[in-house]
Amino acid sequence: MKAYPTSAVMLDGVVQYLRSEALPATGGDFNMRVSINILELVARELRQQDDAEAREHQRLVSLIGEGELEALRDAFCGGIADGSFDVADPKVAQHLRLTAMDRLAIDQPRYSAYRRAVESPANE
Amino acid sequence: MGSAEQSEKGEGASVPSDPQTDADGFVTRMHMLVRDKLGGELDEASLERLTGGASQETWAFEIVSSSKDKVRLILRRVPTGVAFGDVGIGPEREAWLIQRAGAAGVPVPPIARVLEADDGLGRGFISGRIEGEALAFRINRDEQFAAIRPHLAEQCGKVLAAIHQIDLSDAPDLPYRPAAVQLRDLQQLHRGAPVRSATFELALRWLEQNLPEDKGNYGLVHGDFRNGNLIVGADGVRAVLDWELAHIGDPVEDIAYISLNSWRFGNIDKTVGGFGTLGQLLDGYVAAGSPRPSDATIRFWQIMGSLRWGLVCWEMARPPEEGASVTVERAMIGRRASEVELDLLDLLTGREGI
Repeated sequence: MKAYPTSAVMLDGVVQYLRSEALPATGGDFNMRVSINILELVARELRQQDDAEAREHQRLVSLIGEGELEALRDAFCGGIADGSFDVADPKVAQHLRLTAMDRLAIDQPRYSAYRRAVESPANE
Repeated sequence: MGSAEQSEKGEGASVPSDPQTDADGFVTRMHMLVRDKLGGELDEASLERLTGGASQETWAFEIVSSSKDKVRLILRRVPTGVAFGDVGIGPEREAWLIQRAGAAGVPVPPIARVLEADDGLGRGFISGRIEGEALAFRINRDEQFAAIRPHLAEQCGKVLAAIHQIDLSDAPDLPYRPAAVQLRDLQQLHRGAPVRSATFELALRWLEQNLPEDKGNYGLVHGDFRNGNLIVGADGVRAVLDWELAHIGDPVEDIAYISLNSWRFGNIDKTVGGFGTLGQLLDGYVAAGSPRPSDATIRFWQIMGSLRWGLVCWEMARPPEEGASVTVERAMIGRRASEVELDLLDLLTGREGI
């Protein structure tokens, strides 16, 4: 049987409770606020990571060839390090940027450079 | 304070002093120190642990001097028995530099005493407390700073020129950290990092290929000159804090560091600290007698500084030992390495211009 509700939806409820009840009860405690931010991040990761990794995998396959995601990531890092992949190649540049953007959509979607890239995706 | 245990970086093993129980004799020793060495009486109720800053404890307190004046002071210390991180220069050299910087016209807190072993308080120093705002997002947004904000970047340029012109001929040994040395450290840090980033690899390769020619024009570098390490009042920059990463190196490093997007706190179009432009900073720098650096050198040090911050984010999120948990604050900082990835791509592909 498929699990219901999803873990992300359950986390939404936890975040909602912590924000509206528990946080005010602690007088806005710093670590409580950070903890809520972490739970929100985990909920975004649960929702987005599978798709993001599938896209990353697909791009790596088209750059390098067939292989497991982890192995292709390593090969790509190695290729950047030794110069066989160059950022002057638009496919390489695009892969780096899309990977960073998908990561930020989960980790820090409020970051200024991410907002700017989303709102005005110039020369991409 | 709710977050009294947090520290931005440094050793997780430190057990903070608790004035209520005074189990480690901290309060008793503070009374003795204030009476014997500062010539006053400690107002015990005023003793307050401040958060953040560095790999050290920071305490605010008040003393009543022999002439009955109230004096507000700050103690920064590493308690006895707590090991120092391997990055900082240590509080004795930090205090020496702060005094020397003050004499050179750099706004700094006055040093009242450098701790000695007999004081029984560990290593550290006591300084005057400068009134003003240190929280970057308040400096960038609060109405009370609206009039001074357009002048802050130029002031920072003048302050940096004064720092970079400090005569170090009689200075205690300071680490020598030119570009090549720092690049080697970052390569090592990335090799030992918990995960690998292709963007960080790209930045490392770019730095290697664009290493500036060694002209030997080195001087004092503050090493952590950014919005967040300044105290600002309605009249402008009142103090430069956190000198523990000071070193001998290329002064352009400081200009680039305060210009990183990481320290703009959302104001991405205000390059310097989120409050001003690089042009304003450089105008102040040149007006105060320092040479105008090239755009290429600034960009080089922006990429170096950004990469360093990204790798530090991961290091801070590392559990103190196998199986131990990391604080929520440090865990969250670990995920800020992704911000640096995008900043680096913007710098390396020219989206973020000088």
